[in-house]
Order: sequence, then C-alpha cells, then structure tokens
Amino acid sequence: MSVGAVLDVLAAACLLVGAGFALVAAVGVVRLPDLLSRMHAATKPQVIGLAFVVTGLALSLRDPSVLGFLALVVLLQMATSVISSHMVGRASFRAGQVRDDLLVVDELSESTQDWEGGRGAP
Amino acid sequence: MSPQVRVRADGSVRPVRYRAVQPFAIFWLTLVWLALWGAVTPMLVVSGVLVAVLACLAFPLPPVKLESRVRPWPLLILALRFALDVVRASLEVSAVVLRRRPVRNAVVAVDLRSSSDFVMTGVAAMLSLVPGSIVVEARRSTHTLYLHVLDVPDAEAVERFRREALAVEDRFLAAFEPLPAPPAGADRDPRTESAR
Amino acid sequence: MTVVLYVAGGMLLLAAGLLVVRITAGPTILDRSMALDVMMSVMVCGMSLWAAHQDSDAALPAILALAAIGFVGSVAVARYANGSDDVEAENDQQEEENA
Repeated sequence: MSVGAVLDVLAAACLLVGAGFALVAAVGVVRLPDLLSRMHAATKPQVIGLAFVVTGLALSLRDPSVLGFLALVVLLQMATSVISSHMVGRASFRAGQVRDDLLVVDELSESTQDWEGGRGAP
Repeated sequence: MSPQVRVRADGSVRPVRYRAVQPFAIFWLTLVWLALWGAVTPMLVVSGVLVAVLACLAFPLPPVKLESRVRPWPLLILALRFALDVVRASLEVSAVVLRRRPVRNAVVAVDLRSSSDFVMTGVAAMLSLVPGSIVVEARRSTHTLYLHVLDVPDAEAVERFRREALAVEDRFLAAFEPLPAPPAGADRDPRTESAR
Repeated sequence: MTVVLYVAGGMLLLAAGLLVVRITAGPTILDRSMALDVMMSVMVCGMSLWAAHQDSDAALPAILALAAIGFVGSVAVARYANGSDDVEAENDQQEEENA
C-alpha cells in the first residue's frame, strides 16, 4: 500500500469521526434536559469534532502551506468556544434558568447572592 | 478590566497608547500572520510585525502581567495531559448524551491557591475544555471558580472533581512558575485607579 | 473517499436538522443562540468536507473567518439578553423575589 492510500484512509477515518462527534453534539443539544447540560454537549464534542474534520482535511489536501492555517482554525475554535460557553452559562445561571432538581450540590447559590458588578459586566 | 488610561488636560480620558505595544502580543500576532500566508519570507516577517504593531496601537489592551517563569518540560506535560483530557472529556460527554439514564449535575466552587489573574484565567480556560465542566462564575476577589459539572452522581464525585481541578492548577503552576512576590508597596494594582 | 464524504455529509445534515429542532423549540433565547453556535460549527465541518471533496483550498479563508467570529453572536446575545424570554421561568423568579 502506498503512502497516499494510507493517508487517504486516515483522512477518511478522521472525517467520519469528526462528523460523528458533530452529530453527537447535536443529539445532546436536543436531548439533554437543561441549558447548562446542553452546553456541555455543545462545547466539547463540537470542538473535538471540528478538530478531527480539520485534521482529515489536512491529510487529504497534503499541502504544507495550509497546515498553519488549519491549526489556527482549531485554536480559534477552542479559544472562542470557552468564551461563548462561559458567557451563555453565566447569563443563564443569573437568569435563574438552572433546574435545581438536577443539581446534587449548588455551592454558588449557597454563597452570597450579590454579584460583583452588573449582569455580564467584565 | 479596562486599559490603563491617562487624563488629558481638558479632563477627558484616553487609553495609554505607548504601553499597548507588548513584545509578546507582537510575537503571537506575527505568528498568526505567517500562518495565514502559509509561508515564511523576510518580507512577510517584516510586514507581519508592522501589522501587529498597528493592531496593538489601534486596539490597546491592558498589559498581561505574567509574573512567572515558563518552564518548557512541565509545559509539555501540561499540554499533553490537556490534549488527553480533551479527548477523554469528549468521549465521556458523548457517553452521557447517548445513554438513557437522566443526568445529575452539580455546581462546584473551586478555591484556587494562586492569587494571580493570569493563573485564574488559564485554569478557567483549561477547565472549560476539560471533562464535563463549564465555568459559570469567576470571582476575582477571592479567586474562586464556580464550575457546572456534568454527570455528578453523589457528593463524593464532587470532591473528586475538586481534586482534579486543583491538580490542573498544580500542573499549570508547575509550567508557569510564579516569580517571588515584589517588595511591599510595589504590588499596588494600577488598575484600581483606572476609570471604569 | 467519495462514499465516506457523502456519509459524513449525511451525518452533518442530520445534526443540522436536530439543531433546527432545538432552535425552533427554544425555550429561551440563550438555548437558541447556543444551538446556532453549534450550527456554525456544523457549517465549518461541512465546508471542510467540501474542500476535501474538491481538493482545493479555496474555502479555507471562509472556514477560518467562521471559526474566528462565530462566537460573537452568542456572546452578544448572552451579554444583552434580559434574563430570559421564557415567561414561566420569569414569573417563577419574580414570585421568589417577592416572597
């Protein structure tokens, strides 16, 4: 088997696994009961799915000049998914949309309720 | 956190421009520029530095106070362990999504040992991407992170997660070893005087 | 390779369909913005598949731009969302505050 064929198989596997993770993320977004649980499904399998798809793309393009470009895509996705999940999670918690019946411990509501600064302020 | 500011003669407030050009930011922005072009030539490096300086001047940000020494070997361990954790987290969350049992969660407070903003930001970002946790609230005054954790069956699992989070902080501190504290009086935060 | 690309594309299509369900159902604007965030990532995956199919790097700048600025929408919504538009949850909360 030539190197090209091996790379082809690897690329195909990466693309399939990545698409699978994206599908799992979507299933989680539909199935899980409350917003914060859904956010877990939305951030993690989504980021790893994108990383797999982009790896598969790099393996199938086989062009060294796009490697930095694709690494940048994954890094940006990781950095920004942290920001958006934190912002959305915080807004949802402050709006009281967390279902208490699903929580084992809630150490944030147990502590003082007066937030530092206004809603969403840095 | 706002950029450092100066008050002009007429009383208006402007961000301090000259402090905005930071070597570390220039380095990273130049790397991004080279990655975008997909090649390294002298002309690209020069134009990259130029664009990075212009970007820093156009959008001034407060300086990042690292106050720590980077150690390469623990940094490598941190990165590898992080990559492993991200893969494990994704598999765990996928399993939670696909099984039928309803899921139990928890909101856990983690008191960080370090009091540096940089460590808090780094640990929060890593914990956000690692096993089923999202930073719901970060309290800067006490350096406490409040994390929403997916799939926590009982109180024992809460303690286990807290230990894992503190282990992440330990690895982070090993990679970015904090420098000894500056002498008393010099550690006053200039940001407390800055306008909101 | 082509078969794999079609299968992966089908999975992404299914994912996008499920996300549309969540975007339609809500119940709050935060749910919708988060589902749109995931939809953005599905779009990036789809464009990557297209690039692999065409064996061209023409779509890469678009992929990078989407990955870089896709989060701005949900952050802006989270920043300015006035609590929630889930009326029942809002009423519950107000009752608790009044109590």
